[in-house]
Amino acid sequence: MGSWTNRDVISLRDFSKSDLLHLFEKTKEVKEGRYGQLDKTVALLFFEPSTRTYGSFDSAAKRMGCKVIGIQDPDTASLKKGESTYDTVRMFVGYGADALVIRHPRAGAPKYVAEAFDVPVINGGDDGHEHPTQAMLDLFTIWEKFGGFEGLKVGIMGDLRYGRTASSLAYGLAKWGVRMRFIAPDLLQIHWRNDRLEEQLREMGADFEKTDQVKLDDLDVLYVTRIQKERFVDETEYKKVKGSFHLGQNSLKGVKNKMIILHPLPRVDELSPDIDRMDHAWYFRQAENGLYVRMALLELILGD
Amino acid sequence: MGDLLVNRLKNGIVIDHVVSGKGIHIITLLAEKTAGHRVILLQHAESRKMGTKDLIKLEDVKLEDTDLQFISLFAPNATVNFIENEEVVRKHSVKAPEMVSGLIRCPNARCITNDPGEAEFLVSRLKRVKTGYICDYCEQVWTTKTYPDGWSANKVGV
Repeated sequence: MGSWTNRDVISLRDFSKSDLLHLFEKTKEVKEGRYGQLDKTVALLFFEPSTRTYGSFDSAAKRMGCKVIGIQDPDTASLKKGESTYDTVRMFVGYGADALVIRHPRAGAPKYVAEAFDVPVINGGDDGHEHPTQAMLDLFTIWEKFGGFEGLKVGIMGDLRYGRTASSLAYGLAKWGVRMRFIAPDLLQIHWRNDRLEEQLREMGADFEKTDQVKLDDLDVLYVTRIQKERFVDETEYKKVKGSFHLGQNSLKGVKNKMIILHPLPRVDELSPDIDRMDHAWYFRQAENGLYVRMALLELILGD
Repeated sequence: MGDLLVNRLKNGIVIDHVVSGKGIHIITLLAEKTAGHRVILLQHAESRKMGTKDLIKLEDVKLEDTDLQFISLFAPNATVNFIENEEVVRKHSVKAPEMVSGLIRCPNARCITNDPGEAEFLVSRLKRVKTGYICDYCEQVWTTKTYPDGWSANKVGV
């Protein structure tokens, strides 16, 4: 296991299974109310809007006793005046940030910031590239439900082309050899991604299939994602796939009793609210886990 | 035919064994270096090794290491002959480098290396993979096939 102290969190690939299991055990402790207090300052630098990631990091840092500084709304920040990412980050490092959480509309921005500054950087989502802390909480939720990953089959459905949560989750599941089914219309399949996800999964020896058919009866986990309208270059392409998958209670006939549905949220029309009442619906619990996983992350990275 | 051109050149550079049809990109990339000099591009010449090849002759031009790196991207098996007084004084067999820094920019418009404000601080970096080069930041793949549509040369080294 690598040391967590002052560690950057740029890609899920940078963490071994034992690193992640250590995080899950720590998260469990945090969830049970066992955590310390950190006398640190965390800068939340959100160059792109966010609700859950910002909210859970803000809440996580405050619960851990940290001071929170930063920018929440890029529209009101100096970025609108043309200030560079580098200058903005440098300012907050100067204000005493002990860790930086970066959400950015440009792929690779967190890596760039991590190279430029000595302060640990946590990637809060970079364009359609990666969202490692989301994957950590997704994996924790699966681990919490099933006690591990052995023998599981996970369906990942929706926008697999532009979504950053699907890629990070797939890298994580591949580490445990979990069988994956990528469910999407061709236009949104993983082979259209620009970050070599499919090639890299093959290089990792991942066990996966791709399909445009919604076959759910053999799945243990169904991970649903929203179509990333804002990342489509061509509006007509978006219209072609908009609403291509819509799951309601009827769609879940024949699924395994223990099957859980996860979603990084926000949802649009891919998950009907009538599913919320079913035992399969784990997405709000998953979102809540985001708080605990991020508390554990801060403790591991900034703790003594 | 290649030998004849090398022999005829008094001083300068001959770039041989360039992938057929890619010579024009090398000339474009070296445009600043070759301004005002005589440049000959021979396209689709017969080659025993390659079937067909391109060959470039640059009169009274000197190349530096960064220029050789550029050439290696488009002509991974090229031979660069340095000519002085009609003699080949040095032969350089181009090898594709494992890492390219600051030479070309990423084709992904949404990559941080293409942010206008950041480009002043940030040197784009590409690692070699089987299919070409990948951007170290956003992981988009670069191949000579995608050039020049998606990629533009960085100001560094051109």
